[in-house]
Amino acid sequence: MHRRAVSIALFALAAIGGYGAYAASRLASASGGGASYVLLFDKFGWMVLAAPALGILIAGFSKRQDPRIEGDRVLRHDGPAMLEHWTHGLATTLLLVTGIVLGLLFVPRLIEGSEAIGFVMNLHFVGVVFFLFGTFYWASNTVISSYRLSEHLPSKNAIEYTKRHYGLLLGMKKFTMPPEEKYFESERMAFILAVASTVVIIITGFLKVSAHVWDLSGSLMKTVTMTHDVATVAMLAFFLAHVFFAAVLPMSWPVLRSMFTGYLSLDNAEEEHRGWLAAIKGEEASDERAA
Amino acid sequence: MNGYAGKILNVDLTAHEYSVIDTAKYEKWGGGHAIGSAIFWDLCKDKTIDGRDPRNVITIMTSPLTGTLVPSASGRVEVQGIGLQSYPVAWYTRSNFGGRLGGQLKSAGWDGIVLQGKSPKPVWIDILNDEVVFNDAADLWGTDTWTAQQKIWSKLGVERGVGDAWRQVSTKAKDGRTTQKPAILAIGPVGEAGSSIGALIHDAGNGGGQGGFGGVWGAKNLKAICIQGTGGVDVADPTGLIQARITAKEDWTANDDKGPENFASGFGQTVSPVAFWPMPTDGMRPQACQGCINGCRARYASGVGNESSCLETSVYMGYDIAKNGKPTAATYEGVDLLQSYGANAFEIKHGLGYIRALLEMGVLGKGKAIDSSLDYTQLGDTVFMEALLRAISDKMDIGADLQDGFIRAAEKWGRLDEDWATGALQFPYWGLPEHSYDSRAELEWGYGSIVGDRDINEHDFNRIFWENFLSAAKGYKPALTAEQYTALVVSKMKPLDPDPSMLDFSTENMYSEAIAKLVSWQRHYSRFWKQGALYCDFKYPDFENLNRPDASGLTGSGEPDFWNLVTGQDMTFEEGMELGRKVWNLDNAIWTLQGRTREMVHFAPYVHDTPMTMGEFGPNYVLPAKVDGKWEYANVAGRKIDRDGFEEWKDHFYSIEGWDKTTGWPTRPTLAELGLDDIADTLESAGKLGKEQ
Amino acid sequence: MSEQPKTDVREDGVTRRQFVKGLGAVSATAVFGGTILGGLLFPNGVMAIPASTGYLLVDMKKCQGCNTCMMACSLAHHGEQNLSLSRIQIVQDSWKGYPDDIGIEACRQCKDPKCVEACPTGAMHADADTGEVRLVDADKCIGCMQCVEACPHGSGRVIWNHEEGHAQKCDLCANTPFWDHKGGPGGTQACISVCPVNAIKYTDTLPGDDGYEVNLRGKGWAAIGLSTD
Repeated sequence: MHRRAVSIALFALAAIGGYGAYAASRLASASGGGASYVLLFDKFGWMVLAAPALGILIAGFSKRQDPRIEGDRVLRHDGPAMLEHWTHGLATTLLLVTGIVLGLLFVPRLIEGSEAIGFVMNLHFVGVVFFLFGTFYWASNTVISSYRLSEHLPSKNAIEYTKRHYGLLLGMKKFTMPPEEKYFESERMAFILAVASTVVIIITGFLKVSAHVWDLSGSLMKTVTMTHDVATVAMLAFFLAHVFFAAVLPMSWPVLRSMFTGYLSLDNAEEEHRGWLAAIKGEEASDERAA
Repeated sequence: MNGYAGKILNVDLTAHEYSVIDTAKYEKWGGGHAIGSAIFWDLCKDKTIDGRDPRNVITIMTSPLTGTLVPSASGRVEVQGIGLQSYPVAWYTRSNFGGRLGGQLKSAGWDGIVLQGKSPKPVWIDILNDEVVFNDAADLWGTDTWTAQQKIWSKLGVERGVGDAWRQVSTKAKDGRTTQKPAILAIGPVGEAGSSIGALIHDAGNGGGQGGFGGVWGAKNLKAICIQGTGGVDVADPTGLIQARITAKEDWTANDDKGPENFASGFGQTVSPVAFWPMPTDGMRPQACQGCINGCRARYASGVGNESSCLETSVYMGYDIAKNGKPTAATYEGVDLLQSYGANAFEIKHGLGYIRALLEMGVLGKGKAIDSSLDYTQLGDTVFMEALLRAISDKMDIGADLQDGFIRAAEKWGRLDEDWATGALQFPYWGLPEHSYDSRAELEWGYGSIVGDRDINEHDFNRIFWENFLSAAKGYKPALTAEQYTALVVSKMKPLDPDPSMLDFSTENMYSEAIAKLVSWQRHYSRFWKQGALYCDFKYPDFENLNRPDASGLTGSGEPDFWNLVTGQDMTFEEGMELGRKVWNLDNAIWTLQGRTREMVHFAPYVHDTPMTMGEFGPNYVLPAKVDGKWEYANVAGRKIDRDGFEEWKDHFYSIEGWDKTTGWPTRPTLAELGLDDIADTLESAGKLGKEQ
Repeated sequence: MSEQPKTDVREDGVTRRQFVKGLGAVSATAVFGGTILGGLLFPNGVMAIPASTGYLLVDMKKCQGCNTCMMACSLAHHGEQNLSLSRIQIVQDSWKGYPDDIGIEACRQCKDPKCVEACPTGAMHADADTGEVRLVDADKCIGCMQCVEACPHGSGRVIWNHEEGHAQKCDLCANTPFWDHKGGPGGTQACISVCPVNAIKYTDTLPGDDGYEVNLRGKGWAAIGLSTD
């Protein structure tokens, strides 16, 4: 599918969602006094289930491409990978911002007034829909191609490779660059945090949404909300580290570019992802340790 | 901190900046005037400056009880600083107002406000929780106090009326919401002129009138302080306080079901708007300061006269009746003008009396010795009150002479000695207007005023005058005999021994040590329990309370009990009295530095030379007295305060206080006893430390 | 260089891709179908909320505007005197003529409580344990403020607690951690207990729409010289 078309469609959906979040949050007077706004979590709660369902369904029809070398570049992320990443990632950004603004743990709510609160809660809802779609889309793709999970999880080389990789970066000459695979071992360890916080956020989030439908006890909801908040902080930690290492650090910019174009330069792959390149070529990775 | 907010706002009007004083630094003084005086002592380096000097330090102080459930102690606020009003020296003095501003200040997180300096241009201060903003008051300067408050509400987006009142107070979530309108203290045109007649007004009728603080604010270019708070006041024992409040209502006060009680008890009464003017018949409600257990003001269907009470309601009525035969709209509208122009009710009331005397003497009017073009034939109509207040505000005509009060106008006109001797100028103590309780009859009132800084305005021992007056008018007898009453009251005057002769107002006892003890006790009680802890004068002390089987009121236990429920301390009544004595000595130290000497402490000549034949309430004045060895409610009118006798009395008083009899200055042993050695040092450096007796 | 993704293919039975497709189809159908069906079968879910067994009646002409009820309410519930947290509000304008100078805004424990209907999580509910008083379970409140907006009575009777971040309202003193007493319907209320002029009264009879404002001024009031009409 054309990247541009899909991107435009998603942005359009997000814009509609954003506008809808705003419009729904405007207070309307009720006859007989009082007023209300539309809380999307309450009136469109079915979308919280529809989004994962859609993610699963579309994953079933998504054609994947394996990594391959094309001249001086390597195909690192295919279309579905970019779809997964950006829906999940941008939604996470929106969720973190709106979640923090609404107040969590010891951070007080940063906005006042029912319309402002309604708008931010509705934005949070929009974020939830995209987040669930992206997460379940990725999870379903991973069920289909389980190697995509194993390449994210840390290997037995996790600690050793990370020490060598970052020791070298910090200028310690006794270390040599290990043959990192598609994802650095350090990133694969961070992945655990991302998955754990995502799973907890989703489970507690589902429970919070189901409180709109079923009568759940106050003590349960108190625990659920607290857990949701703690998982949010964990997610925030991962998010900040991820954005810093993957996007802010200049040495990561080639890989950042691949998240948009799909392609990584062969030079960069040779330097930083020797193990991955070797696997693509079907070879053994060379690994010279310093004496 | 239980009761306290923990911070005092220290405003530099010159620079439009502020800093924070930690309340803990002054907590040992308790609250209210006590803390105010302590801060004044520390921050006003030169106590001899004029009240209009930018270096004058004005403190506006609450107490830990402000904004709490403590009955009739939640709503008052004390203002102190060098005043403009008293004569010949404008003493460091105090005023006090009620309403809801104190509670808002505590909710905002402040125990008080200190004002120093002078703003380069008219300014109003906007306090919203911990945010303090200085605003240009150009469009407010020149408006009356009511217009100014309502304009500020409008600037803050606050709607009038009692409709949908919830509003977010700021754009910050942490500030929360309120239905309460901002509480504002403002001056009107009289204060803007810098006049000593200027008062501080809050809402419609809460006034800090004595002392000329309105004029001090005018000199500082300060138009108004607006306060909004959405925080809370913590107390040490919430359950205990709630229960104590309920007990106070159920067991210690009358309420409408039980019907009205006698006036001997302030606390024990049912709600009762106190007004001298005829009450309108088209509907009214009693209205109270925050937390009061029985309100003393009212709001009326016409809206005219809202929140004015007691003396205020009588300011113009006599003149209205004199001109028009009966009270007309002028009786009420004249008082509203006082409030909106922001003028001292007592000063205007007795000033008008002086004006009438001058008119009768033929010395005031167009082309007369005191040349004034005001239409004095209209004295008694609304239009005259407005013309007079306008003249003072604009410093025009007679208003120019009245800038520093009627006493200094008389001096200017060369009439002071004469009119003070005849009593045409009913200004008996420090050039301040008579409070209606003639010093020659009600001894503790005059004595207490003259050894202090102002008309005491403390009704502790005045209630029994009212009990006798009203019972005679209404045809019932006081519930307690004079002997029973005096025995009951003196039993509550701890730490003094219960000597009934302290309440013997007979002529034989006028200059006695016992009466000196009475005055001394009242100074100390007032300085802490009423002006420090801020128990309202209208309800406390509660000596006689007919809701109780033994008629014994809650003074002695009530004050410390409520204080301790709020603060978590275990202060005793006596400890509070001692704290009051400490503040009283601090205040005297300030007056000493301002130049007070014993020779200055005397009444207006008419008080010493002319027997009292007619008081505000008629020719009689009934108080407890021993007549031929027997206790009676006796008429003590018809006497004067003999100069020699008064000097004797002063000897007793200074002796009791431990002050130098020659000068009236505090002595080192007395100050040391109170932990005020540093004050003794300061007085000594100034050459004004009293000699040990 | 193959375009086919690496998958584990089972020789017989369903591939993972087929499983995912199937799961997606089933869940999508269930969600959309269920939503449409639910919308048709249960339009605007009707809630039958039991009536409260206790109510506050107020006499706005009697109130002396001292705010003691507000201080007692907030002190009993929150341990601090804070007018912004009080579940009864006295609104005043010093310059208005009586009786338009004061309004007493007390919760009516409405028969058809808009606040309960508006709450998306059931935090605002009629509480069976305390005589069906309409009150907020703060643990379930998500802070959407719909209840605050929904109250149809001027100066809404639902309070936003800005210190703790949840809604709250008059519970007839059923839950007063800082006052040791029996509260709720049949018990005592802080505002009534402290009101110096007895301008608030409790009743267990559901008032009509106009029945919440009553005349509590009797002979004693007249004896003071104040109007009783």
